[in-house]
Amino acid sequence: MEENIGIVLCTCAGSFCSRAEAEEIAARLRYGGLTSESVLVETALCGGSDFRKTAEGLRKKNYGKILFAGCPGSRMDAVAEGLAGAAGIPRGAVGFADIWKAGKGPFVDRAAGKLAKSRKALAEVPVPERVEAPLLKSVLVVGTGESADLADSELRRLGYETLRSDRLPLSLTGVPGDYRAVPDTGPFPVTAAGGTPGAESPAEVSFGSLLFAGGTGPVDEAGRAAKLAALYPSDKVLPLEGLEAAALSLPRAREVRTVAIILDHTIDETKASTEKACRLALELQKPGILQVYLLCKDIRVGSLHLEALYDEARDSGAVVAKYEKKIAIRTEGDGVMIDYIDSQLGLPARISCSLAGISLAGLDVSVDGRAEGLGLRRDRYGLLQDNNIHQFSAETNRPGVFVSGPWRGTDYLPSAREEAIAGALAVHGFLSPGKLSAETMNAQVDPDKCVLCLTCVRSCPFKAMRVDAEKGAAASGPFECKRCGICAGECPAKAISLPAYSDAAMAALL
Amino acid sequence: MEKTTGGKIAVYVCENSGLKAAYNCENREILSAAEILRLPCSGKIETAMLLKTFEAGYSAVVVFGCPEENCKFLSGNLRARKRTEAAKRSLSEAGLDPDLLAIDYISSMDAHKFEKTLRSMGEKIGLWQSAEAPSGPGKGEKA
Repeated sequence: MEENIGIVLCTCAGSFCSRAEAEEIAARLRYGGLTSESVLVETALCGGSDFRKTAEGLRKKNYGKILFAGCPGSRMDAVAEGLAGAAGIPRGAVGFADIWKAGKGPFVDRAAGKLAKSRKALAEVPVPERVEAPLLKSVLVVGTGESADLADSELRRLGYETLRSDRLPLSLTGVPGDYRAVPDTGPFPVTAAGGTPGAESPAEVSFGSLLFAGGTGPVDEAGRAAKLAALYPSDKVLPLEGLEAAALSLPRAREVRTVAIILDHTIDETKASTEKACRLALELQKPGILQVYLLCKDIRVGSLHLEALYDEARDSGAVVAKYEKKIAIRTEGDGVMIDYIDSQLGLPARISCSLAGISLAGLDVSVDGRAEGLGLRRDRYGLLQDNNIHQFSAETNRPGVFVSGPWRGTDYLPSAREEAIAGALAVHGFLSPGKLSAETMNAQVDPDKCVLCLTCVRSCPFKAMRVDAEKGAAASGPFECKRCGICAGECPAKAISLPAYSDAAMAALL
Repeated sequence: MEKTTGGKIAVYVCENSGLKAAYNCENREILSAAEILRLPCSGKIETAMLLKTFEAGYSAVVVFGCPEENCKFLSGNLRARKRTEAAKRSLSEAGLDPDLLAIDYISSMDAHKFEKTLRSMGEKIGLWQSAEAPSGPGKGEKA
């Protein structure tokens, strides 16, 4: 066999196969035409006992690629990767054969068959090269307010050069001219391009990373009040901000007056507005002349002291009711009638009260335009950063671009402060190696087949696809590409392939 | 256990969820009927590849991706669903039963769901009768 592929079978007492079985599989493979040099049987590699010796052995044998078979389990990937690293073999040249002990027919036959297939598949995979690109030690911090200030100072403390901009398109502090952020030039430090022609400002300013932090500035209260007034033209339905004054100036009466505080009316409440509502409920309930109802969908109190405050408000006598879907508010005579479906009882309920205060949600994070041209994904509320656990806490779909604080939905100040630091540390984690390094296992485009329909450019979730003007075809960036193969699956011309999972390699496994 | 046909199920698994669920699956009888093929993401699945799998002699194909909004590559699982639907249409155009191709979203801990989907697919292609479908770990060892 022409290609130098080493097969490593890992065996131990119980799981994958016994020593005897492994030896038999190896014998079967050798009988099938492989040299005895190319099939190794090792014991308990995950235990680490023979690890160094094995790695040394692998290095001496000078394999081009390694096919690894061991216990089904997530440990296997790490073990194989470690071994290959120690033996000086690129990660992309390591293949796995997933062999289950259960199966039809004798295990040894099946395992040998699967290994032979996997070996054939691995032979189809090209040996990757390692490519590197330097990273600048400078960061562009976009945003205003405490969050951005904190992130900025933390980054400076960590030894990075920072430049601030309060908005996108960019206006760089201390650099005259209008810039726009261009992520596609170079490997991917974010570049601010533009500037005023002829002026002293540079045409391009490049950064190693971009951190969105901020939006902790003052919120547009007047705008929100106008929104509410248009929705409910009555002085009995108010924004939460004006409720306290109105409630305390209600004409004195014999009976206890009822006041409703409505949360989650427009969009899900944040911790900041929940805190505000709980504090208000407590204030109004305490004197004993008002009965407060707190209407919400799902109250979020998982924050510093917030739960204690919530409990205190309830202890003081405020009633918390949870509603589902829509809530109907109408003024009737001297008061307000609120109809809702109680989500805990599953029954319709009605509250008649003198005043209703509506929180129009505390989020003032109009991100529109800020992500312009950067290809950043938004979540369903239009905030930066997808609602996806793999990106938490600070990552976005673009490598090197991070987001923290209100722009990803946190506007509770103590949490926003913590996030600003976390965002700065995420940038540090990205920039501290000083360079980008990757193997060329990224999606490969066949220029002869590519018709430049740009389906891949649109479908790549990480915006790793771009047009290579020289080749006249699409091309993926080796550093941005995360080797998921979505483009390969989407390409209508079948011009894209993922080296490790090319058609030939997949066909060999079938 | 008596098997009525010798068909096999090709199971495309996402490395991040389906493969781990398969590792956690202890039902040997179910695993023995499955040829597990790993993918970096369920989004890598191609319509042509799905059809080719049938051509290669597999009686049924199942794709396992991550739960929605949980895809490591953000939108791979949604795209996999779209492409599976397209392949189903092609199957029915070719006069084959489109139900022999299925996609399911599971997390790495959902070994029971992995089992359940494969079991019902096995019933469909007559690998076992529903009454005697293997139900627990270790059952196959006796057989």
